[in-house]
Amino acid sequence: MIVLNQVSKVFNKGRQNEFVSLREISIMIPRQQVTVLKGPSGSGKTTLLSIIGGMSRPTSGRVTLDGRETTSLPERFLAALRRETFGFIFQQFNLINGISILENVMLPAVPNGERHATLKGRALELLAMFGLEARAATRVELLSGGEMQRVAIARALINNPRVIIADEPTAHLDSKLSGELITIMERLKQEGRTIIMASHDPLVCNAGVVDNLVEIRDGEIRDSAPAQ
Amino acid sequence: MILHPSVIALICGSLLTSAIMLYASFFALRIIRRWDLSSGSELQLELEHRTYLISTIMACGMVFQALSLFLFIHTADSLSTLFKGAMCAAGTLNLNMFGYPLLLLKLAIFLLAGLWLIVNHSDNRGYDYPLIRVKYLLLLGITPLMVAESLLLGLYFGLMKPHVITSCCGSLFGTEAKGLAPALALIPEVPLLAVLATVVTALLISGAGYLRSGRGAALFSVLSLTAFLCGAAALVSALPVYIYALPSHHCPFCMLQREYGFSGYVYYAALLGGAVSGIGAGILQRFRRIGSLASLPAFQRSLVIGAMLLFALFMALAFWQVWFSELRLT
Repeated sequence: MIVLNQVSKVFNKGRQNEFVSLREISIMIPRQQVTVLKGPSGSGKTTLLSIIGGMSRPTSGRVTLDGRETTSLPERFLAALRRETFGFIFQQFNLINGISILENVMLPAVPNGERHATLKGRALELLAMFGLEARAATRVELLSGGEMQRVAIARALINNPRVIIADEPTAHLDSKLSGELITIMERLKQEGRTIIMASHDPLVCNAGVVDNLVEIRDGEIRDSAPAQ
Repeated sequence: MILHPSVIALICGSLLTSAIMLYASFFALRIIRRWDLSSGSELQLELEHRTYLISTIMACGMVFQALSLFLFIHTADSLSTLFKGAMCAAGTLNLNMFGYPLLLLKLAIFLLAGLWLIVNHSDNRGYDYPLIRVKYLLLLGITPLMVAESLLLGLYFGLMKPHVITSCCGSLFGTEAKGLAPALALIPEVPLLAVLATVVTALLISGAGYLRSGRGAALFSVLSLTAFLCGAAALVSALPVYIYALPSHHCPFCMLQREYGFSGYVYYAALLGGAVSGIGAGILQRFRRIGSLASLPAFQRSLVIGAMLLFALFMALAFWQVWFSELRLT
């Protein structure tokens, strides 16, 4: 379970352009369920996701992951936790141009120091799971939007994370591809992974796979309830 | 003031380090008074963010301060050609009343900076900042010494008078002189070397015992300090006479020069490095039970091995020197 306790985030604190992104957010995100953070652009969803995933630190407040406090961790410990626990799917996918699909998928696991052959084998298994094995050597800039999405998901799974964090994963996808993504999320949920998504796409928010819906607006939680 | 590159480097480095230390000390006071890891307050999170940066900068400053001891000795030695009567660093340090106190202060800072680096390294191994208060308390203790060192450095180099005729090692460490150094020089060479060999042997046995059982770090620490003091005394009393093959020459600085193969630097480095590692291993013993410091025993073992190797190197070099010296004392 992920617990956020009074989490606030202020950018440029004390300056003229100070911006309060999150205000004393307190929520509990259950394990092995799909939680969607819903809200308009600028509501603080991405900031909240980045704090949950240990990519940024709050200005105040604490986050605990299965009882272990994460916000106070020194950077080297936080980096290890991030790598072992979380898989990230970004809005723009953030794949690296100029290298192959396979290399993109392998990349987050390289710092672990695993044997190259073992890592490559695992990456190929993931690509096979998403029907991309034959295109493993293709450079990512030659892929379609749907293929990029699947590569991004495969990359998020390379370290076998317990938690998948997806920021507006359907923002650049048509309805068919969005449906495919939701199907994949359903499969990941069945595997026992916790999934946290930020989205204001009704296709995602109203999907059957979603267990909890948290509505955020102006950096505050307006509503938090089990999905209908 | 002599505008020698080393002098400028020493003064600038020292001023910069002292300035950073003073800033870090104000931060240390906040840490000691306000640190509360159970709190999620804005202040606590700010302290957590900043301690990482400040510790990293301080570690660089401490490394510089420790190494600057050798630059200082080298500078004092190389400036000796500019002053009448000075033939080595002993004469240059005697140019005014600040030279020798500065050397002793720099020695103390070397040891303390080394211990701070060990504590800082150990603290960084724990996920919950287990030694944060200890390391900032130690930093608060070192800061006044660093500031005093900057002041003494300025006074020492600033008040060097080229027309002053200074005394050098022959008289400073001679039998007719007064003070700590000539008193050390009067210690009989052979008994002192025997004591040194006994202490280092005891240290090696104690270290081996620690590596086998994980116990006896405090004893090893005390023996390291004792070996350091005996070694320092031997560097004035016993070793110089064998190195120079002159029974009356007790200078610990001439050995820094080319004609003696710069061997002094190796002796100094082995002795100081061994003392820091050995004492540090003992200090860490009391923190072994902290849950987040599971890697501490491995680090302690490395320190013990390092100290054993450095003291063994010192001892081996010393006895090699005695064995192959042209001087024979009966």
